[in-house]
Amino acid sequence: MRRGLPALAGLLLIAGGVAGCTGATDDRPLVVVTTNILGDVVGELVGDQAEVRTLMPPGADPHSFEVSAQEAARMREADLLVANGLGLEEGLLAHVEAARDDGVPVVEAGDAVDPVQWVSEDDSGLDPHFWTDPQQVLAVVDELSVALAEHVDGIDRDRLAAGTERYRGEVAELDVWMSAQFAQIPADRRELVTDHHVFGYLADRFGLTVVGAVIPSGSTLASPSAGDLEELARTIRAAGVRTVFADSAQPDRLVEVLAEHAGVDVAVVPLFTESLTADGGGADTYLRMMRANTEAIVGGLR
Amino acid sequence: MHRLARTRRRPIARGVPVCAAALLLAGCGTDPAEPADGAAATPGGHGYVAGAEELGEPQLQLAYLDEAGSVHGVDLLTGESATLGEVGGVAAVAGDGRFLFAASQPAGELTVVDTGTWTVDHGDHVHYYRAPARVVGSLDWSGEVRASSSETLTALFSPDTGTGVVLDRAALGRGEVREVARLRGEPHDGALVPLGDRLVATTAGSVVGLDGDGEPLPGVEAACAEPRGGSATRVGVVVSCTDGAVLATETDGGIAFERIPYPAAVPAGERATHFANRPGRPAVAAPAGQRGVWLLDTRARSWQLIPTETPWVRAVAADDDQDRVVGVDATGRVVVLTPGGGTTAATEPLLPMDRLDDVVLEVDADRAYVNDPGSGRLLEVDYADGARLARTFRAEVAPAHLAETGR
Repeated sequence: MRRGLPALAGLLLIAGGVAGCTGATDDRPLVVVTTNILGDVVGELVGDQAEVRTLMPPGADPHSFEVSAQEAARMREADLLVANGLGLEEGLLAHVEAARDDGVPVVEAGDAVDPVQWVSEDDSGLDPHFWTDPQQVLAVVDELSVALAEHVDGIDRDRLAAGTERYRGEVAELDVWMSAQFAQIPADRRELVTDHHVFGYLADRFGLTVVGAVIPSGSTLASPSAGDLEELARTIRAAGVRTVFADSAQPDRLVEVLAEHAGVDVAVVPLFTESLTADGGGADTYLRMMRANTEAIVGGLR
Repeated sequence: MHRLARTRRRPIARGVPVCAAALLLAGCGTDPAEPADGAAATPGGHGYVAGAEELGEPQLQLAYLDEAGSVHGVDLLTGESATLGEVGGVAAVAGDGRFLFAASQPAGELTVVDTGTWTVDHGDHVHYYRAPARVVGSLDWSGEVRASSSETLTALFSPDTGTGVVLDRAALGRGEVREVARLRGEPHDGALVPLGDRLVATTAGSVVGLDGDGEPLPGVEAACAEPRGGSATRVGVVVSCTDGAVLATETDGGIAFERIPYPAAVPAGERATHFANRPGRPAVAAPAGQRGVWLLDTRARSWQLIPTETPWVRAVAADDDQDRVVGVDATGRVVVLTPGGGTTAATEPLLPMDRLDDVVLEVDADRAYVNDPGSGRLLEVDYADGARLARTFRAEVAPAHLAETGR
């Protein structure tokens, strides 16, 4: 089953193309948020008490989206600037620093996270994709709530506390539900074979192992050799799973050639990774994104 | 092979090899000495254009043109053909993985074509883009052209005139030819290659480091008798000299040079000339006259001479799990060797022996591509599968020049 486009596929990156940009004046305090996942979380906490401006368009890539000069100016006027941190928003670093230099309070979600590290042949870094573990998000919610109360004048703290309490409950409920869902996966099928690099926190939290998969290039699928598929087939066999979680432009063709040339019978299922979708796209809120991914993973591995 | 470990909690994947393209793309092409966010802090320095579509896998494309300058493309994902533009009569062409640089001798100019597919490597992840192809613009030019790009700079060099031109690559992506610098030298078989935000250049007897404006970095110079081209690798920039190679690497404040001498003195006719590699890999290869093939691992700083049964006229280091080198030999075959096993596979003679000078060999992670200038075919060879001829594409015009883009 295909759940609509995966986060990175098929989207138009349009400079400054932030939805809902209006010239209307708004006398509420302004909270500017870099990523749409955090924008959703902040909106849940403050309700209509502040104008929450999310810079990253639905379906965009947090590593590379950019903002218009007008939005950069608004970042510097914000009462609070919320960023993911841990190196996620590379394209915005200069703007975040400019705002900070102007005295705008900046809260980075990554500061509240207990980070995991990635290491490769000749590089390493902290994994910024904390949201795949709801426990980390709970810590971030607490951090954001404190920052909103401290820096955003005019917010009713009782209403903020109530909003925080309610949303905390929903994330905690998500965490319990996810735990129960993932518990259904048998012990010998807990390997997440994927080309996504964002599920490290989720795997740690719910006792899965992420196995990196190299998805054969689209240019090889027209006339594949066994060698093109060998590494993926070996990975799949070693993991003993029947589902690969990957973005492929030609998932049906990939399934077909894996069966034909490598004797491997698998489904290829996309997941939502780094961005919420537009409304109705299957992952238009953080909670819906997590539930959709959980159902896809559990359904694929169980 | 890359291996990933999440150091805080437990090793990931329990010893299952995790390859670079998976969780971590860090190993695949960003020079480790280059700050990961160096270009990202500058809007537009991110390989980004408004209206570009980001996709989940490399948008590989074969761009080719005839001598009249009619530019076409084959989408390697779908096999479909497209017309990319017209650039006028063409004498020489170079590519950098996205742009084509077509030099027209009588016109005295060089035209830049954006083929519309490219890759940006960002440490732990890679972006793949597709945008409409277009003719970007022209600049004054004379002679052959060699081209090479970093994320921020594009460098062009004419061995016939010794002239080098540095272009703002982000501006090229926005559709604008902006000359950052024009370097005048004497004609020689040299190179001008970006290294991050700086450049490595040759003179007739040396290798020099330049800043991003083309100004010499004081004291950054190494002797290099009779240069024969240079090439970017994952480690730095390597230049062929009489007694071996000079390797330029990025340091905190600039560029450092080191020599990688040949194992023994090499006659002029057997020197490595015009290194070639799969982009982003540490190893480069070059024919060694009639004797075989040179393989230079710029990470290990080591040369290896691999004898071949037939002379090779092209050699490209695929630098895959078997350290394969893919080439074209003097009999018109696409040939494959490994350092330990010698020539391991070859196609039938596919290419006209009297047109081998016009054959371009491009090698990516999975396939090799050549133009057959005589018959109007573009050939796809699976070099890791016994040099199997995987696909044949019919060219819309006689493919006098070829470049693979989207990578």
